[in-house]
Amino acid sequence: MSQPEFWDTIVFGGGPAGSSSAGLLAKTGQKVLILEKQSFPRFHIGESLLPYGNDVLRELGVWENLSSLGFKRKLGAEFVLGNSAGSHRFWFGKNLPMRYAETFQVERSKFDSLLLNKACQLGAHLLEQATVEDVVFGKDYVEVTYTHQGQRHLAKAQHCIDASGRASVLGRILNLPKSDLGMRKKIAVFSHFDHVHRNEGKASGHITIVRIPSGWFWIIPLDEQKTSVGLVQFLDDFKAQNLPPEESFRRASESHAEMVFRLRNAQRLTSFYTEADYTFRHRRAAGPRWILAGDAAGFIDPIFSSGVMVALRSGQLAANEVLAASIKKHPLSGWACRRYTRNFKHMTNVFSSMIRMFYDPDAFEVFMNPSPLLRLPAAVTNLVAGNTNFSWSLAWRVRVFFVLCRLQKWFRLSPRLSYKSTLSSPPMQPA
Amino acid sequence: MSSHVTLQDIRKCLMENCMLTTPPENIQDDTPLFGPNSLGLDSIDALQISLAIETTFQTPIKDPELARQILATPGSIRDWVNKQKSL
Repeated sequence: MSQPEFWDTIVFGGGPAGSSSAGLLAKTGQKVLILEKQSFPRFHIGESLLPYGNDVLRELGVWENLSSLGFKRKLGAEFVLGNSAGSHRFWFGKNLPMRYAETFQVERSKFDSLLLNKACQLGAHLLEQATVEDVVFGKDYVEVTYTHQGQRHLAKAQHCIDASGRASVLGRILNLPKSDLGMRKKIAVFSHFDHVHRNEGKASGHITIVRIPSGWFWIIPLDEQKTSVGLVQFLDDFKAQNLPPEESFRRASESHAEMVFRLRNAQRLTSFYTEADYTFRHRRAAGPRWILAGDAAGFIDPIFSSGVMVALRSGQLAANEVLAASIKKHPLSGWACRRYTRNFKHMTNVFSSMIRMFYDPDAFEVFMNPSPLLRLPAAVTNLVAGNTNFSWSLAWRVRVFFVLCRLQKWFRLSPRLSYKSTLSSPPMQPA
Repeated sequence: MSSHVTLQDIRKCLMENCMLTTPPENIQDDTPLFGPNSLGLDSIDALQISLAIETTFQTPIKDPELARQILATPGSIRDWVNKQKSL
């Protein structure tokens, strides 16, 4: 084993959480090492950004690149019923300040490479195909053992940030306790397509969520041609069907008018990917010399495209905490750890309430037709855009919205939704 | 997709079939047709519009439950008509 190298911060993983925290720390002059398991560009799921992640992209200095690199501008989100009879379009620009009026749909292989390159430009040192083997916490430093090109190396740092995604390297090494937040397990089947029907005009960059009784589809326009389409179902339902993933996708898309309409000329570009997405969140997201950021700290559900935004914002928060601590040449104080954990939990709590609302058929009716009173639609747009730092006036309207969602079960506050099929003939069943 | 239905077509359809006090420019994609803060249409108007949708665009709405959803806003009518036409 070679002599240990000394760093200010070591970051595990070069995805959005890793490159944003590494980039922001390097920008302040810190010596930062990024250990990335794979080599970029690589495929990743989670292809839609939310406007409330824009600030981090601006701070990193990649905002301008996004439009020039041809990423699709996203001005809002759209929720449609599988039978096409009922839809709700959100426009970020309608209820939000200018800087949150738009964001982007991103093909992750390109987007993540862009961010990682930026982190390197800002001064972070990157090692690809480097696997973290062990992490040991000493009195004055953290000691990371990693393998790179078949050799074991040792690196020391004041702090480490775990941004290793759902693999959650540090969570496993430290055996950190976690919770599944009482959510049902789900599975996603997805691929990239050409010639998927797009919305007209300014809505062409909208993400479209197609709600069907047993789950939902996402339709994300990635650039001028390519569209990502995926189906999310409950894992137990999927297992009960006893079908291969692509067959399950085909049947579901052929039995809903909206999907037939969208995919009638579509050509699949890659083979199907499958990802069983289980919800988890670590009970603690930070300790004296470590912080978890992005999916490594917790993953909830892909429905509101919160993944990348949470990664970017927690990456930024983690960088700030690490920086504040290292200026004082101290490990993170107990107070700072609790503050970071609280911030991360608050962010994900807002989304988990949204997610529970989405999967509850009664609450979803309120979401699709919120009462125009009390400017509730504006509050809902804030939620869909990923705002989690509520002003007082927004906070109580959000609360009213969730209360209405719960009351909808007993009182018809918003019109009931019908998922009745509008297809003229039932889909062909293979013999 | 030969004849694509636009918001303008839906506005025209609404103006011809309902007694509207609002100028057509004020009718947007997401202006609710019924209920509070809406154009204030009633059930007679709903019947008129659904008949008009059938005759103008040849896309009958057969199910009353679905009709309520489809007739929520001009945008939802437009999207539904376009999708039905192309299926």
